[in-house]
Amino acid sequence: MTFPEYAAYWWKYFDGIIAPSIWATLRMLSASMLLALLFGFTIAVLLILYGPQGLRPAPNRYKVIDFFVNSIRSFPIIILIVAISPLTRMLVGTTIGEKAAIFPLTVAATPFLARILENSMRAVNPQLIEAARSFGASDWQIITRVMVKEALPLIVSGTTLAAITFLSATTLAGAVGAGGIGAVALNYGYQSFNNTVLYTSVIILFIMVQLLQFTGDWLYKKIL
Amino acid sequence: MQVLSVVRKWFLLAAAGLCLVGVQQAGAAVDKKLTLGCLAYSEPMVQWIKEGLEPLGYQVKIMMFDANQLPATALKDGNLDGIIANHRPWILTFNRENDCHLEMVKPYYFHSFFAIYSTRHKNLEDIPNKAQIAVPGDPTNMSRSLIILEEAGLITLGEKTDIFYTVLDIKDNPKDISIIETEITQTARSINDVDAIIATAYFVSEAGGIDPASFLFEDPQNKDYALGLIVRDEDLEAEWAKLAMDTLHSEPYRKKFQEHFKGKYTLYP
Repeated sequence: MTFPEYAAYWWKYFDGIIAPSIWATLRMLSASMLLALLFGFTIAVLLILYGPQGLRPAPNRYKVIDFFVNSIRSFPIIILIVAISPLTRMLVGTTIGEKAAIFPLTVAATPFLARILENSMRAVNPQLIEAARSFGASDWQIITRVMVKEALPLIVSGTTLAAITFLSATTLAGAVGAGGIGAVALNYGYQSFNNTVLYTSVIILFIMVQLLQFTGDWLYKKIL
Repeated sequence: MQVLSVVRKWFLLAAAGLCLVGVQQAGAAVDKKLTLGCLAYSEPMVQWIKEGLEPLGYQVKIMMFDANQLPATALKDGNLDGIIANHRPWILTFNRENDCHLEMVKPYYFHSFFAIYSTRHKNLEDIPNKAQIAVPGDPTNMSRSLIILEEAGLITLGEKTDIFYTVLDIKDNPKDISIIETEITQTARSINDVDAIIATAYFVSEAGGIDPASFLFEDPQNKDYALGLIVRDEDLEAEWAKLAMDTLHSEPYRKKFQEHFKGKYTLYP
């Protein structure tokens, strides 16, 4: 193959298969991360409230939430995707395609982020919290104005870590017809003996991770 | 002293016993020991070979594998004598990729039944515009699925860009059908979520309890994907291989096959 021929061949795959899959991956990742941040934050707040050194310690409630978080985290993501498919069908209406993949990805990412957010907020100096309390701050004010504010750099770096972890998880969503760059790398690259597609996809995944890390680091510095 | 001599006596007896066993085994024709490989689905068939061969003095050991290419690799390396696992076109590709010579013993045993299935539509003509059709995403099955769609008149294919047909090679798609690539076991499971799926009767009936005979369109290439006993080509004419195929094609075992697989696979006449 001459170079222009190869370029045309590459473009055919890039334009027809790889480019749409990049968007599919980004849509799945951003939707599931946003939803997981929302739910994860809610759970993290509960853990912080009821935890051993929490604002309103309640060991039994804490144990229940803690157990729930741990049990979801014990499922490998691909098992989670297939195991909760009846639930997915109930909520999303289908078990295959992008929308159907976002649900299990969110379910998997929520406890992961909840843990990260909980740990970040727990690292806040207790004296700061005591000080805020002595000024008559409510629990909600302490969480939003002291803990979240103080923990923000850790929250940002933790979320970056989670985003990169779940970028690799989206590659598994290809199993349920959600497409995405990981599925392309496997089916059109590795299994089709097509190194062009395989390595193009790998380079794109590499760039995605670099961009995520770069953005995370930049935000971290900005906040610090 | 006495204890020692007793121990020595036992030891000598045991050693003699071991020798005897060794001699006996060497006497019972080494090539009458066979190891056959299979996957979960083909395990009953290998059992049937064992049932057929053991009264004839063969010792048959069965090994089950859980990944598609493992039995063929073990056969090529000489760790197995025969396998029932992959279809013949797959084996020919495997031969090319690994520079080996595996072949299927004639007469071929059975073939899988690949077809278009649907729970939403009764006929091929009912498949609407913008229909979603789920297909297995791995390249060989994907390629085969696209050919089925072309044969069914739903799409037309242009020239192959590579070894396998992919969605890139679809030339005309008058109904604007969207093809959803899924993992092969997921394809059958998604039958209620899409307009149609392309899958083997085996998966469709295992995953959804759907009658294998309720297909909309049968893959005309089905007969080309022969399954059966695969051996290294020097064993093609081996006595045991012939006896194995005689067993599988005998009337009682053909009946067992039909009872066991209930139309999920089709026997060659």
